[in-house]
Amino acid sequence: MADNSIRLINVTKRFGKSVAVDHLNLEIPANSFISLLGPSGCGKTTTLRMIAGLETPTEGEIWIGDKLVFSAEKGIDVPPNNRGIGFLFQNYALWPHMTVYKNIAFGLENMKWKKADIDKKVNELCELLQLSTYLDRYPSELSGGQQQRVAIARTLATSPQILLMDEPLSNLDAKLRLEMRTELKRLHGTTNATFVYVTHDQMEAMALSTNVCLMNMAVMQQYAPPLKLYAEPVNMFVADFVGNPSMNFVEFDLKDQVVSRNGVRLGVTPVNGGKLLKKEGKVVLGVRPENVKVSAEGEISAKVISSFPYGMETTLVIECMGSDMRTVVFGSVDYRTGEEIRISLCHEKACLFDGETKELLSVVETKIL
Amino acid sequence: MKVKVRKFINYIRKPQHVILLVLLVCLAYLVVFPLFYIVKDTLIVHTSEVNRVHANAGTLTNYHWAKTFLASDTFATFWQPLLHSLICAVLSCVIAILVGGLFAWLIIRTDMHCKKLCSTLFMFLYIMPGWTLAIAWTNFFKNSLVGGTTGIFEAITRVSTPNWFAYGLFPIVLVTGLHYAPYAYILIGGILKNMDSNLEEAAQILNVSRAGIFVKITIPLVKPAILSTILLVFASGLSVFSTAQFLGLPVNFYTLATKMYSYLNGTNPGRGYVYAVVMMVLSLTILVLNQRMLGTRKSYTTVSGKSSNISLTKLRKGRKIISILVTAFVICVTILPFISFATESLTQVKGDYSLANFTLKYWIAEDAGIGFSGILRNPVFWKALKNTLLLAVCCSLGAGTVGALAGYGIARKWGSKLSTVVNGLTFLPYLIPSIALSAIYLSMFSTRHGIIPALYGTYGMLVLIGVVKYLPMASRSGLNSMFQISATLEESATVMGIPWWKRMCKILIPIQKTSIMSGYLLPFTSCTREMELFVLLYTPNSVLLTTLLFMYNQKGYEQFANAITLLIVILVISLNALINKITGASIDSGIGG
Amino acid sequence: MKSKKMLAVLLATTITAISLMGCGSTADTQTENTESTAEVTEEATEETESAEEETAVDEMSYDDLVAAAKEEGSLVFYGANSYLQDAADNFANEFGIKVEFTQLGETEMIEKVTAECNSGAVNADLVCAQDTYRVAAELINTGYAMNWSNSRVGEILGDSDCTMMTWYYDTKSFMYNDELVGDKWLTNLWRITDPEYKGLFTMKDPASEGVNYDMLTMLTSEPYASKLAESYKEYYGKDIELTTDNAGWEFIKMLFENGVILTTSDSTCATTVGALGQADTWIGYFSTQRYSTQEEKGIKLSYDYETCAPFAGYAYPVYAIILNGCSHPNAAKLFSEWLLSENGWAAFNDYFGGFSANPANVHATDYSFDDIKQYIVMDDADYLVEHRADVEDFIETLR
Repeated sequence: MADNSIRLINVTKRFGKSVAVDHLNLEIPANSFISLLGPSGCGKTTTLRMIAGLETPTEGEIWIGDKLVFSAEKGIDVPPNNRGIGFLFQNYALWPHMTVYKNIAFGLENMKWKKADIDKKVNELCELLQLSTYLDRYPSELSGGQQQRVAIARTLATSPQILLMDEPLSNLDAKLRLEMRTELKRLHGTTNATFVYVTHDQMEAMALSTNVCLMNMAVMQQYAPPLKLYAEPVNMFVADFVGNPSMNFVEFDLKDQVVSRNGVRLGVTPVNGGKLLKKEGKVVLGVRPENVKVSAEGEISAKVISSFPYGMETTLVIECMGSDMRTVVFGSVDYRTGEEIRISLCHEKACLFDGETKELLSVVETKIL
Repeated sequence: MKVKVRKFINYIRKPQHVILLVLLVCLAYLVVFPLFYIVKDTLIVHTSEVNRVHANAGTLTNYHWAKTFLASDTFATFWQPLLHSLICAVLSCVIAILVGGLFAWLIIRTDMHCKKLCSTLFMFLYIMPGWTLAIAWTNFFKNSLVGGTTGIFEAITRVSTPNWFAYGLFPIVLVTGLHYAPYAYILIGGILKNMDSNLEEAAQILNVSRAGIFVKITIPLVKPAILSTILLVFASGLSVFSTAQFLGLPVNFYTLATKMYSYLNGTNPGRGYVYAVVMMVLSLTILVLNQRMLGTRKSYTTVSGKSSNISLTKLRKGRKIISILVTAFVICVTILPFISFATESLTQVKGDYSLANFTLKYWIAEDAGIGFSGILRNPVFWKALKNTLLLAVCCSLGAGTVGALAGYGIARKWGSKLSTVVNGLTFLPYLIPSIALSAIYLSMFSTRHGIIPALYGTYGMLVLIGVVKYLPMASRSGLNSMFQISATLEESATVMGIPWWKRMCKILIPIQKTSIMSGYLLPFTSCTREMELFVLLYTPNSVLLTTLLFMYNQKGYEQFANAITLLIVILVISLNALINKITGASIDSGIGG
Repeated sequence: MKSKKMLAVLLATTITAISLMGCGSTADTQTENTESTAEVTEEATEETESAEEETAVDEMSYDDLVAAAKEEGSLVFYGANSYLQDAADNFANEFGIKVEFTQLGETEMIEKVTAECNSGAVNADLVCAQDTYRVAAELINTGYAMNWSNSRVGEILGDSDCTMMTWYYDTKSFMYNDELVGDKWLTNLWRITDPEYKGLFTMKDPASEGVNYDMLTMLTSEPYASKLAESYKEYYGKDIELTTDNAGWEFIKMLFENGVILTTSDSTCATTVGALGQADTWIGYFSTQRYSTQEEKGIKLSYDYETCAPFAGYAYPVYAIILNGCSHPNAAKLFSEWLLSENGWAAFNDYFGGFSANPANVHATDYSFDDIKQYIVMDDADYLVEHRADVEDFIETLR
């Protein structure tokens, strides 16, 4: 099997004056499932289209396996069809004038496959994606989920070693999305292809991928496995973007490994045992909602602003240390608005960010002093 | 060096780049170069001017410009025709927009009767050549003040029409305005149809008066349509030739175009080219102004929302009377001309409409006088018919194909410099008055230029100018059709390695076949009825129905002229209906761009 | 070398010329040169023709010419007169040569022919053109017209140079509707400019009919201008007050100031003037031929050659001009020569107001050509070339 890893070296794409992707370096290992995550306009779709060859980078090199498919410097630009990729479009791009069968078979016919082989392949795919009963229908006669599956089947028909997906689930309703996520994970397991998946939904990215590449304003922010992204965000943007409900940010004054605000003083000890590089100044303490523990013995007093009971857990918005914070209480509990509660931040993991640069100083353990 | 070559190959490998580059080169030669070439023509002595300028042919001279702008008679020979052209343009716009807009409102927003009939007949005005109305007008309102026989109107009512009514500015403006009214109808109607009534109802709820809603909401929403109507009608009104020739000449009413024609066909073509330059400068100015007022082209699409919510205004008591008036009006301007052509082609002695005076000899006689056989037996007529159809097919294939490709290339590279430039270039011929364009081509292709042979006298010459002239229509509908389908439909095939031609034939064209067909249909019908573009360029070998008609009209063989006019109109309308039926593409679907 | 080329051309275009090839051109150069016949013809004729060449052309006997023409098999020509269709048919019947005739407006024809010659795609072999000024300026001076001569034509016309061969004279006359006023009404041309008859004179727009410019131009020349001055005095009883150079210019000026109705065709003028039951009596200037078709058209026309002062019309030559580089030069030459013959004129036997350049041919008018010369204005090529542009510009200012 061909090497289906992907390597982007210093790839930049400019549209006129605006920069869509800025000096991106990205290594995608073979057979991995990578998500390109970020808010809209961050350059993730452009990156995907550059890998596919649908967009020409302004600078940089792109390698697929050991083959250089694009190099601005050497003037190499392998056309999309020679890159061994499949591409799944956000709007599915099903050809409205062809039936489901024809949509799937078109690419194979083009490869001069024999009629019988095509039949076999199409049926196989349709079985896999539960489309067998819709073969003679036109795309407009299918539901969104069915259209999506046809699009996947069409993309898989030519057995690409790399599958590029551009927000393929964004047009589906919540329930179908969950189903299709499972489907995609299963497909990744069976096809052994490298999946590159563009999404703006962090949950999807976290749930699906082996590695997440988070981008913002054309620049890659962090490239890490989902849980690392969650636990050790490199800056406040990443920390804020990943996780739902999102991380609480509270400004503190730092002095000698102690942060203070509104009379509350917390000791912060880097978890990796090192020393904090920053001695004093403004810092932001980022605490995941689940690490803000509500307990009668809590050291800090807080007031409930609103409560969202979901059944399995309840999300609270509370006022604490003169700032709004979110916290999660597991189990079926509810709180009244205005109710006084106490919270604890003792021995919890938190992220300490520089107040000015917004960069992560260290992951720390907090302790009430 | 090698890298550059490779980069170039990568660039060229994308068909949209090839299309755009080829178009850029071709259009630069066929559209931009002529603009400079014609300037050269205003600065040299032509062979027919040797005795006038007293210099050798081909030498440089400022004679033409000086004569146009500095001579003592410059008011009568230049400024007045210019003024006439401008007045024609402005008033034609007003009429087209008022008539077309009112008609659109009546058809789409009220509960008028006979909508289908009125709408279909109204389109005839646009499908029929503009000058047919001019001929019909003279058939009806010819007066005895200009002498000789009188028209049908005077024959029936014994009332002599005043000169201003029968000839000159008034009928020219009216005829031109009416001819373009359907265009305004399509554009404004399209917006009225797609405009969600909620927009107006929202204002109604806020207790805004009806007039207030119309002025503050409706008008601003249809503004883009009105502006693009203005662009077209103004440019056409400015360069109106055949209508002005038919209706203006008897009372010495000249426009820039008719003046230019008389210079070009006379002994001072250099001065004719000066007028052509002036006409083009004016048209380009209008384009720039229009673009500025419109902001960006995007404004076109801002209004097209859901079309579900249309509430029809109740005409109440006026319903019947308005329906009758509108239907009567539409019949007057569409059916009556037919009757007049038929009548005039059947009368032996002009102005005498008694039954005894009717004869079929101008249609079928072996010898219909003045050495001609009746039109249906006249070999020249059949030759012209054959030429016309062949030319229409060639032009439509050429313009339609190039237009679709141009639309493809432009849409795929939308926003890039190359695409913007090519897009502008494909639109440019729209603004070069037909008669000026043909004047340039006459001069440009009369002699060999490098590898480009002298095309004059060949059929290819007519095809070439037709393709160039109709390219704007075709590329507009091509561009629209490409914009309507997501690029991903093609990209998904690209990724699979489906070659370009197959992507075009198997995916893009089948999906957008109606829209692309109208890119072919428009040039076809336009070509069948085109006169101004070919009147300078046709040769006896390539005589067309319209040029034959022009010749008969100029020679005063009115029965023949009317017979041919009738045949042209019937031909154009039935071809249009036929194509409409076969392909489902209709003329109004393409105009909207 | 030039004469060799010329001979080679002749060889290529005629069979009979072989007999003339005594002057020793080798077979090689002949075949070589025949390949670029058209090109060579042009080159050769651009030079002023030597006597030897003229004789070479001249030497072709009538029978040889017929044979050469038949060999070419067809003829394409343009003309403004619709009677030419009959002439074309007659020629085709007589010689079995296919003739393709196209009727074009005069100005249009000149435009098209010059464009054809300029581009090298010469479609027409011959044109029957009449606008002396433009023919001279745009076909002769440019070298587009073929220089040739024919002694048989010379015997008839007194000039064997056929480059600009006049084959008939056409006339236009001032006519009026005699329904109300009876004949001999138009006694003086100045009636046209009389404010009493304002807006009652019509002619074809000179801008689309060169010979009308020619006529107006000729009015400004002597002796016509003086004659106009004389009749002005007769009409008004006083000398003309000149605001322009002479009475001819003044006439043009007053003509336009008096609201001349310019039309696109002589037919329109004729119907305008001749329509029955009009309250006013119109005067028009148009082709004399229209007089003969008045019954068919249901109109009433009259003209007075003898009694109208100072003149009642205009005569202009119609030329048969062969184009350099055309495909059927011999057929065109034969046609030109034939047009002067009795058979050639047959189609025009009842063409009212036309006079064959061959005096032996009949004419439909009551007057002979020599007779009418005293009643009408005659064309003068030299004067036209010199002055027409001025007249055109002058008229421009009057519109």
